[in-house]
Amino acid sequence: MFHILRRLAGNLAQGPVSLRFPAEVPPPAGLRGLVRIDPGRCLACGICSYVCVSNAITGAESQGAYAWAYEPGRCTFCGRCEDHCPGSALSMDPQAPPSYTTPGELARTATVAFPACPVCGEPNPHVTEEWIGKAFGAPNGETRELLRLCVRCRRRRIAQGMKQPHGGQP
Amino acid sequence: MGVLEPILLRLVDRARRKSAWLFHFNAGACNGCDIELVACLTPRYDVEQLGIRLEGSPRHADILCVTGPVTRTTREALRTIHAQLPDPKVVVAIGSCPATANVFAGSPVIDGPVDRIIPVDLFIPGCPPRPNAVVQGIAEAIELLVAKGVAQ
Repeated sequence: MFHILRRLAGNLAQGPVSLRFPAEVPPPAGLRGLVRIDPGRCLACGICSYVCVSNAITGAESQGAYAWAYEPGRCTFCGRCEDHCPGSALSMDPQAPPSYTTPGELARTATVAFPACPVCGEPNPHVTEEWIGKAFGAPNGETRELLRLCVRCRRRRIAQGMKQPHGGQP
Repeated sequence: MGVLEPILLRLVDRARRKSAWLFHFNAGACNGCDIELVACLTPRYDVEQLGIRLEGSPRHADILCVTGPVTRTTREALRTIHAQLPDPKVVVAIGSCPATANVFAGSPVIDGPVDRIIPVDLFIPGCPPRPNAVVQGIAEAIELLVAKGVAQ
């Protein structure tokens, strides 16, 4: 009885709770909006397109580059891509996406260019310093150099090292 | 008519802007978007301040709000309801499902997305969209409705 009276008195003093129309409600902390990519940190691994439940993210390698595409109309805003990205290249906008009139209007694309292999010149997915630190801690110069090579050159270099007598340098 | 015509047209235009009625159609949605649409009608977001009324009959409505990917059983109902709305009409797709069928794309029981069945004027992205985004979207839909009325 007293509880409801207290609530009624509070309501009387408070004024209307309705938001006047062009009211901006601040988005809550951690709201998942559109997915953004930082091409400088992308490892072109394709994990994001693999974990995406609704195939909103697609990625394909073509002509020495990785073409990343995102279609927000298909997005479930689940955040799995952000969670699984090994290079921390993906993040999500902190505000809700705006409405649109033509399908595919909010689509985002990015091209991740591959640097050339220092030995043969083949385009090769680059390896970021951050990822090297995550995977190997602080590797020595040789490991670091091997990571920059393309797969074929890396194999060749390791095979040469195995052929050398024990303790020898490749 | 003559002298009265521009006055009457302005009156109709004003009536459209100030009292657009809304029909909600669930084309197989998971109920998430429907709950967000109902949240717009609560005192806090209060979409009725724009003159909106959730109408039970499509024959009295101006805006058709569609939620959900179109399932096989709702396809014909969606076509019929769209035909029953008087012109000018605006179709608003709420959420990711009506826009692209979202996770249900490629399913044998889904005939969507909605724009394969009926023309869609406005998409509100989100899974589900926030009530604030729905209110903003409906306000944009009213502008589209007025523009369509002028063109007619």
